[in-house]
Amino acid sequence: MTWYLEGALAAVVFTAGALLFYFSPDLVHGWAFSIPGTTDVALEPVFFPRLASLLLVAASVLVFVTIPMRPNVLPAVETAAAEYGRVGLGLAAILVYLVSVVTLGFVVSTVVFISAASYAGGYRNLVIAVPIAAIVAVSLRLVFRFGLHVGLPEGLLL
Amino acid sequence: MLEDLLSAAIVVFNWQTIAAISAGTIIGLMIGAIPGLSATMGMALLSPFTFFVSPLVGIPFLIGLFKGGTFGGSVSAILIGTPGTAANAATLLDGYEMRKQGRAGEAMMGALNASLVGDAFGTVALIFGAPALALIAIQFGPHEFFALVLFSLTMICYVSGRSLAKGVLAASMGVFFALIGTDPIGGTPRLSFGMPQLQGGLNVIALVTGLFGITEVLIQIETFGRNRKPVVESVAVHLAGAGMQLKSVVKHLWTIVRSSLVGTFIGALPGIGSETSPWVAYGLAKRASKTPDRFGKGAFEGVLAPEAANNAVCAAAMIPMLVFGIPGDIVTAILMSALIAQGLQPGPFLIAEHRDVIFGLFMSVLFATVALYVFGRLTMRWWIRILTIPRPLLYSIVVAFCVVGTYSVKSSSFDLAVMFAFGIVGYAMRKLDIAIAPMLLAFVLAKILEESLRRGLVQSDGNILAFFERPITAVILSLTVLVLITFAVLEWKRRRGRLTRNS
Repeated sequence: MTWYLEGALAAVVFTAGALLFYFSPDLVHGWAFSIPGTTDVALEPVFFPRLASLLLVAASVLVFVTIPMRPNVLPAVETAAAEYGRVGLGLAAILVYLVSVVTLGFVVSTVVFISAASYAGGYRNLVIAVPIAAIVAVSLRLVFRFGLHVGLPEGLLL
Repeated sequence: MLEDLLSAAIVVFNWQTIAAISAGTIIGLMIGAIPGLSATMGMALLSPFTFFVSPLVGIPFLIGLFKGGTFGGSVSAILIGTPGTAANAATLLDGYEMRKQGRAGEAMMGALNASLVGDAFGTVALIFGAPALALIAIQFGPHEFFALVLFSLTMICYVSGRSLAKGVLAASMGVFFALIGTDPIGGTPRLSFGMPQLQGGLNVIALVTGLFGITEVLIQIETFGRNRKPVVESVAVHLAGAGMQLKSVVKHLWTIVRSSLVGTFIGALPGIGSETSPWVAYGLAKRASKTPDRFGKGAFEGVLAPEAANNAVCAAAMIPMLVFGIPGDIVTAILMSALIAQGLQPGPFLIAEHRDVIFGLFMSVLFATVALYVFGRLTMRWWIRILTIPRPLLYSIVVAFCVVGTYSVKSSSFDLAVMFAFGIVGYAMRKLDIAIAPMLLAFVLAKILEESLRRGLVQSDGNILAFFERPITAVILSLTVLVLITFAVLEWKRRRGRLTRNS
């Protein structure tokens, strides 16, 4: 299993490097200004992206050929499916929170997120969690608004 | 120079700076004490707060946080056998054993005293070493900078993880992500795929917050319910009196001084930070001890050595960052971002151009040393309670801080998406046992690497051998190659030995 994962990683990075090398001329926008008379390769916009792509390819090859030298254990293999499931749910919750921060506003989203995530994580004492969530959200909003003069997303609600 | 320091002391001796240092130290102590929350994460989350205040308030806050966080990690290492930060991993070996023997107070006070001495050594090295080194750094051209960055990246690739190959892979990914944005020489967009949000490049705070904040939250979600640590309320901590403390410091003075020197030296080398020096200091203390058998079984020197070394790194690691603009680890990379956000570009001319601000920072590093001791001593009993905060509540609040920190830099929702994406990248890297530090350092250093390489090549008419013709460059590049070969051979021998044992 460890072999497959590290091999797949090397393959992905190798492909990314190869694609970057091939498409580098299309991914850079040419010259913003020209230096009269220069023919220096190092000044070409494609120079460093190509070098970086070669570095990616070389690193992926290095990882691939050294697989047998590494111990046959990886944290990824030792993680249970249920644990990955929990991480997936956590990611989904964070994503929903990020979207709601932008659409509904920071304060409301943060109060709901902290309370709900604490509850889902096993801390069921909402009498403590909700006020703490409200204090964190409101104080951050006030510190940024009046202390640092930086706005946080207000969205539809606040 | 003493005149500069005196006038700087007067400048920073105001309530805002003192309050910032105190707040940073206390928050750092708290963050460091909680396993999973490190000084690095704390700085990533809180550095955007400093962008909007004066540099002599914002940066001292971060310095206090760094020092407090580095020492704070020893509390959980000693009390529950889980280091708060990677820098305190060596403290665990004897600190936790001492706690089991009912000597938790002695270990914690010893750690604080050793941290104070280590911190003082690093600070003195910074105050006197940085201006002297800046005089040499002014002579550096693109060739020298290229060689120095390459050396830093080589070191970080090796020391950050358990595999050199994976370190190189992480660094190459960092260079790749740094390509996104604008060509630093030609000034044209590249790899921006027509998206205006990408034309300025990826926001480093979004990256750091994602890689450390969100990734750590995901790891905590994954391991929830696994490896439950013992409850710590029952730990009785008897803190020794002042006389007793002084006696223990004097008794083990050479161990503390040697470890402080080790930490200062290693910290000042670009690429190696607080994670390496405690182990080196621990190893040296064990070797120098008349009773090495006691190490790992509750030896007091086993706590003093790593704690002196890791705090000595705090100030010393700022030397290459301030003088060359080359951060040695993630924390100094974040500090560098904070300086840049304040309009202070680290590099050879920083001290000459902003002498008042930089000497002000030096003095605040010194004040932070005092603050660390005062608040470390006064608040030591609190941190035992901190360890009992419900994790789900704590990590939900961490996510909120990630959002605030990332969004506030440019008021950009796009940065939130970048943070989220790099949270996933960081999690995948942790699961595949790939160190995050080389990627982040490469991302930060790629601009200097590219500029110095391209300018160097242009200056020498495209002749790559010119890099070896300049004496300083030749020495640094030869050292890099030597280090690389040595590390590769050591790794190969280690793996081969393990394979032979297994078969």
